[in-house]
Amino acid sequence: MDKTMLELQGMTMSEEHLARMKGIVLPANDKARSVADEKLRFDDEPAHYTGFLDAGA
Amino acid sequence: MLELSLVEAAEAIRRRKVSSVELTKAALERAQKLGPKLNCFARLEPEEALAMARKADRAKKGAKRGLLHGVPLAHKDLFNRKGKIVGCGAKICSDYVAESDATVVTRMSAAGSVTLGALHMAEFAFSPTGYNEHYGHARNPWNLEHVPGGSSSGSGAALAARIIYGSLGSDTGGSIRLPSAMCGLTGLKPTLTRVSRAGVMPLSHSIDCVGPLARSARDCARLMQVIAGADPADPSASSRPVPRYEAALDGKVKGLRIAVPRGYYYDPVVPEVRKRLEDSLDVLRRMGAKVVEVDVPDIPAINTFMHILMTVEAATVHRRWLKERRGDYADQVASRIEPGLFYPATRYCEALALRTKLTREFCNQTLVKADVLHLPGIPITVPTIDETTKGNPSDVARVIGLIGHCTRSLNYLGLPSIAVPCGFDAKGLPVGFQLAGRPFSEAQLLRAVDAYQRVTDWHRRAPSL
Repeated sequence: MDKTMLELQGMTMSEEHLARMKGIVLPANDKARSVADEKLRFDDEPAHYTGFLDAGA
Repeated sequence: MLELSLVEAAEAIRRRKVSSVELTKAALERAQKLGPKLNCFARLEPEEALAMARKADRAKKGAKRGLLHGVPLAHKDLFNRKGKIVGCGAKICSDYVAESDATVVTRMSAAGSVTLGALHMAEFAFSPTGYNEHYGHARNPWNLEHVPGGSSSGSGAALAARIIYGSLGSDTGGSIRLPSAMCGLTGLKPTLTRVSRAGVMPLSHSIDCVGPLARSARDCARLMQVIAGADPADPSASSRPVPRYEAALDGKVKGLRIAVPRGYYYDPVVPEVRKRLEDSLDVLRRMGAKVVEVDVPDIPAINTFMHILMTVEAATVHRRWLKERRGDYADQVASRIEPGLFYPATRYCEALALRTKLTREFCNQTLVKADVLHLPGIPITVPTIDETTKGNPSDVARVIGLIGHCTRSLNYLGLPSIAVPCGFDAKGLPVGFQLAGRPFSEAQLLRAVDAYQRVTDWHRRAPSL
């Protein structure tokens, strides 16, 4: 999968560097996905965010 | 003269007690003397600075003057200035010449400020220590073996060394607040969208903020008055009216409710930093503020979403250069951007979509029972350059990770936060706290910090150089 991502980005990377990236991205991805599974609803639109800030949260 | 605050310097010029040329010459002399030692300037522009100062001094008596008339300043090397190189601390941008001024540069010029040149910074603003492999480390004026903090490293070093009176920086994960905390300065990361980012090198467009570093809250208030507000060149800039920040500084904190979070932010704080933080709370208590403890939500989750937004957006900016000129990046910098090439687009969109919910959750949990949140600046004492570059890689990574421990979550949440000096560690390096608040509560934060600075003198202490 990581090699596919590199191919999609048109990049190359050594195996060692790829393993480093995997060590950073996989745990973060898993954490973010589990929080999103728990909290995200279909109508949570990113476009609302600055309006929400402007309204003083 | 260079011991004056920014506001005092502006007032001295207005009353013609000193000329802009005198102040600018003094600042340039100090920059020439200390600049190389601290490695804080990317480029010094003495002739142009003096020409600006002469022009300021020629202004007729009674003529309308800006809030910064004749005051010598310098800013991080990522703000576009027409016809000037904007190096961004990067080899890749070493010959990039801006075609127009950034909006904040235009506003600073309109306010009458004199620009001494461009200040050194971490490569592409990608380091909390100020690390720069290409152009060397900027040095902490309190101890040259220590990091000044980054990424606005030159701003921190030049201000603490009394070369300039104020500086603009940018803050994506702590880049204004970290050098402020580590150099004994006051630095404000405004609410996301409070200040225009037009003409500013992007690191991460949904997180980047522009704000002031100065020696006091009052000086920050003056700089914010000049730069804040709507901008047709940056549609994301908020059109909310800009308060009169200096007018809000009445020296009062009586009744202010200050939340101290349990858990995440204070967990890794070392004892000598903890003592200074507790002292700062005692001062505020004695002034009539009420301190309450609060729980915080899942901050590591917020940091994870922040990492996803920052790296994906940075990778979008840098992808072609990473492919074609990888060798022109420091490995430490490229390696911090490259994770952004791997996150699925769904994670990125989730990080954006959850922002409102997580910010509301954070505010409801921490800022309902309180007006402001008291946090450490950095939870450890200011590290040496060697501690952040040499030795066991996992130790180095741990120290670097701890530096941004208390700052980066606020960037994802878009909340304003101000770093404030509150003492020194055993080696004489500064310790600082942060006050964070609800969106657009900059006036309240500045008011609280100004009150604190009326009864303390940490912000007036200067390193001996």
